[in-house]
Amino acid sequence: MSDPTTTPERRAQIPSHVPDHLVQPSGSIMYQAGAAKCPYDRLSEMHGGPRVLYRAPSSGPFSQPGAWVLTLAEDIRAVMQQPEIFSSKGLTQFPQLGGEHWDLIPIEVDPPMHGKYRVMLNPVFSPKAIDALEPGIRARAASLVDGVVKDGQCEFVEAFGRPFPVSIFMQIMGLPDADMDELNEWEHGLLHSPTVAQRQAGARGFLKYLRGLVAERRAQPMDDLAGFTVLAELDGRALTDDEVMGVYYLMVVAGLDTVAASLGLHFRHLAQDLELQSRLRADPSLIPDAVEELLRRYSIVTTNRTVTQDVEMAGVAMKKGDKVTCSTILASLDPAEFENPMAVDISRSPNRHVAFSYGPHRCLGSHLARRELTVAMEEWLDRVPEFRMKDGADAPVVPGQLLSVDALPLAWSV
Amino acid sequence: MVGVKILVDSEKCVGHARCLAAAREFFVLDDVGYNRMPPTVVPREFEQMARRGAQACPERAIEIVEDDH
Repeated sequence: MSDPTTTPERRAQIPSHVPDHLVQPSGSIMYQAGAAKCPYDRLSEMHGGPRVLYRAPSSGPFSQPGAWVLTLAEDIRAVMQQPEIFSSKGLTQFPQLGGEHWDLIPIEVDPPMHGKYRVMLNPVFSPKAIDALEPGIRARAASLVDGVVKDGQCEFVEAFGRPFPVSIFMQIMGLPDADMDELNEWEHGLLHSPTVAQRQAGARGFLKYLRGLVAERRAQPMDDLAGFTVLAELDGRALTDDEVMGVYYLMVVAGLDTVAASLGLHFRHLAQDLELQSRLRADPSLIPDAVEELLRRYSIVTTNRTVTQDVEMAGVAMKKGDKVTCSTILASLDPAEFENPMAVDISRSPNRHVAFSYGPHRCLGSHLARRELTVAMEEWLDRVPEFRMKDGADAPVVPGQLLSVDALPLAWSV
Repeated sequence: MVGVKILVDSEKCVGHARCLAAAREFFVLDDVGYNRMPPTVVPREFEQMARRGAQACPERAIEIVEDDH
């Protein structure tokens, strides 16, 4: 197969320490927008190929710097567990898109500061804190399901997948429901739009809104996460405005999109797996295991690290400054760790998947996300009879940094 | 006591809390969901439960070793 990256001009964009045979055409692995093949199938097939490869840089609106792409869970785990060598500084570039320069906290902070921010924020998202939120989470899920159950159909993402986690997040953060549409619009602009202008507009929307929120909570702290952050102490001092922005920004970006994306993918699977639906309805105690298995089979996040010192990893020599792409999808679909990885098997044990990442940057909201996904499935299966995709409908998985479905048309008998 | 020893690498534990999910009421986590237990010997009858918790850890932070003292 001819490889366009080996032309002299293309080769010149790739560091000389990268072996020719590991170079892949730019953008061909993760971000092939509009590709006919489901991203999960495409990524899964990479496990038949080399242990590590190098994705050439791409230009255009979704430009990506060149990066090593690790394929094995073992290597991805090793990278994520060593933040001193594989830094997440500057990971998202979201503040920079809006013309500002600070870190998203804690995800873009390396040790030892990272640990201090986690100690500060962990109590807000601890298993015990989430236990206390569960009644409210369940009531919200039940009321959204009740709103559509008599219709015999819905577009799931709009009716439930988005409003359920977003409204819970907004309540935790202390944001008024009236702001939801605006926040969703910026989120979509920042993360899912094809032009740089739209992404900048989203980034600037968030910046202005969150700067306003910092000022409001400084003037009058409230009993919510936004208020908690301005009152928090770190090494005996209050956080600076930029640090508060770092926390707010990460909470908003992570809180608006991730569980919504997972819900769409999980319910897409359920709509096409009627046998699993019926098993879970008959025995709801299986739902937590089903959620774990769907988190594994449909992991959504691809993230990056920057190499801080020359190091050997996955059998190649990486140099300081290199980028490394770590896909939780590739890790969760690695046949070396999960037998028959493309199959959904809720009795899989152990099921130590990587949907929430490895290492100290383990998803801060993982306990909340798990609870929301479990409660959503419990309430939905309890109230709605067997549902499937609407006749003739399709819900293709949209490729990107975060995999998702745009819409999921469901139907059931009433 | 003849049994197994549970060794938790607290550097590696990042608070997934999956050991607890796999073996409820066996592992005790701290207030924010991290496993900070010191090296602990448990009788043989609890070996399976200890191993289930260890195998659930995405970080491989828990090791179960023979203890024959």
